Amino acid sequence: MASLFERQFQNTRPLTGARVGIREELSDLITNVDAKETPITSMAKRGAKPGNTTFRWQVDRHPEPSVELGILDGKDVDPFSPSTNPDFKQYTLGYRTEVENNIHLFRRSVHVSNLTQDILNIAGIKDELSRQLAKATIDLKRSMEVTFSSDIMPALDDGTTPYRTRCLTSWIKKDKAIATTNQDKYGTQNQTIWPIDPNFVTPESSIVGTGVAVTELNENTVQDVMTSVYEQTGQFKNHEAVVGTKLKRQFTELVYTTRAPSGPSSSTGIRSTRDAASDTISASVDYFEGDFGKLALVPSQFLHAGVNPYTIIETVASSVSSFKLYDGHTATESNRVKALTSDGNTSGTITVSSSNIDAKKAAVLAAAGNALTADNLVITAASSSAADRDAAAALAKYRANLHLENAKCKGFIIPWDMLEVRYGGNIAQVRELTENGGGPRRMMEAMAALLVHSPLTFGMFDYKANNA
Amino acid sequence: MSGLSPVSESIPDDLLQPMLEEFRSGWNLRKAQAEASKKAMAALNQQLHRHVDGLGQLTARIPVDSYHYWGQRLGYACWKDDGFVNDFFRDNPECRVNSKAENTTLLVNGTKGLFDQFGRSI
Repeated sequence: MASLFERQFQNTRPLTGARVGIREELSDLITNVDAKETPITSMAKRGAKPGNTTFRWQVDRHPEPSVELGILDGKDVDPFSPSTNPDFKQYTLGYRTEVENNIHLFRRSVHVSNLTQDILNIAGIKDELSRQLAKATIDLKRSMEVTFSSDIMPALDDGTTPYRTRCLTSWIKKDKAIATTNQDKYGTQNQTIWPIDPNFVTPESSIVGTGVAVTELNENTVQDVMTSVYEQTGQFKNHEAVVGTKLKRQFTELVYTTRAPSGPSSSTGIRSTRDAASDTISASVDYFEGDFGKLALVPSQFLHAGVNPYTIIETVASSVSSFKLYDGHTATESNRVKALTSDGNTSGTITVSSSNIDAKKAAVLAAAGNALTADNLVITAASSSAADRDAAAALAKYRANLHLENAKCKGFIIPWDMLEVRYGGNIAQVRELTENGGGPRRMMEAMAALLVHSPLTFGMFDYKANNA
Repeated sequence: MSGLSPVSESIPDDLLQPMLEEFRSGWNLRKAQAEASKKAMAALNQQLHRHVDGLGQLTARIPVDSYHYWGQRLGYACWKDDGFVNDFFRDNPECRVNSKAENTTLLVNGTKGLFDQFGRSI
């Protein structure tokens, strides 16, 4: 049997022309199937392999133009003391600087038992291991999309924290961009990092909506951010904005808004109640042609933009379950999620049973726009029964999902010639792990880094849905 | 080609065909969904859409599957090419949106005065 396997293996290598064709078809399908779900990784340029685990590049800018009052005819340039002589200018110091980023490793492993792979007959599935790999491929790509759009700060592998790449929100938001250490809610060590020179940080006028409900998006704010982006690029050109679904819907509402009959066009209008078929709208790329060129709104379901899924931790005391929520991947008290005003809590604790779960959900929903209290949120089952425990778990999940609505209100204006994803080696490769008798195992790994040529030309819609 | 394309180069041969089928079934599903959403979109696009200051006119709604299909096939720069976009609208007229510009238009008729876009004297 062993020689049979060996022969079969060798016969399939090197690849014949026909097999190469199949592989290309597979590649096309992988990208086509999921490009819609992962617009940032799909539309960004694919850059060269990173030269090292940490790599640097230069960004440059021009000096501000000055008013010139003329030069007397025949006047010579003063050749003396060039270091202090204003006749001589230099265009390097203060204009050109370096930025850096690190690689980021992504990995998925799959394991299928012998019985599942060889004996079990699952309807519609010819090969369970192939199915697992296909799913892992899409899962990996979507996870890369979420990660690259997040606010993760760069980190170096120190044996505790792995290498992390500076992700898009950390390139654009000033507090992240100029930070000199990387301590954040993701549990990185407090490493010293290379900040972005303030001269190259995305202008604050290119970021709109921070801390504001998405329903406040109006013509003025859109015009402000487009003007700011235009001032950086200086060109009327096509822009693409990758937007969450709630934000995109808000853009659509603008074109259905009727203005007051008199007054400036920028004045707040009267909303029409037209049914705008939300599913259809969220599944389209909208093209606007306007004062600053063309803008395409590309919808995305996997934007992170700093809105991290809450981690829910269950604790059991005297057989009664309680659920605590954490903003981040570490269950530390500093990351605890607070209760909202009037969400039904008593000193931060919401007690829920199977009979009042709907009322509790309604109270949490109604309080979603209220301010956070100073109390850490605990969602506790009313009794030790399984039904009450499940009700408490459901309410905790409901609250976490309310929080995730905020990610749907974010969006990025991305000049694609300024954004690169650099992959190391194969973009992703499948490795066969040792089979120790339990069934075949495979590992898929990708090494990638995000490279922003200059954050100046980016824009961001930073709206929110609620305070949950 | 972006994304995870070279992953296929390291997939063992015996797993290739079933994986291909897995992706193909998903691709066909989305193709059907794109056709359906295009029809729903056509009705929506007939409604009058107004000009939005700063954004301009909403001129087209393109099904997201079509957008990425052509982007992956030809490169996303195709959507910035007027020739390609015109051809796309010729073949998919239902993607055009019924909208009009609201910028003020002044017609100047020599020295005889100023007129608005309706030919009325200002």
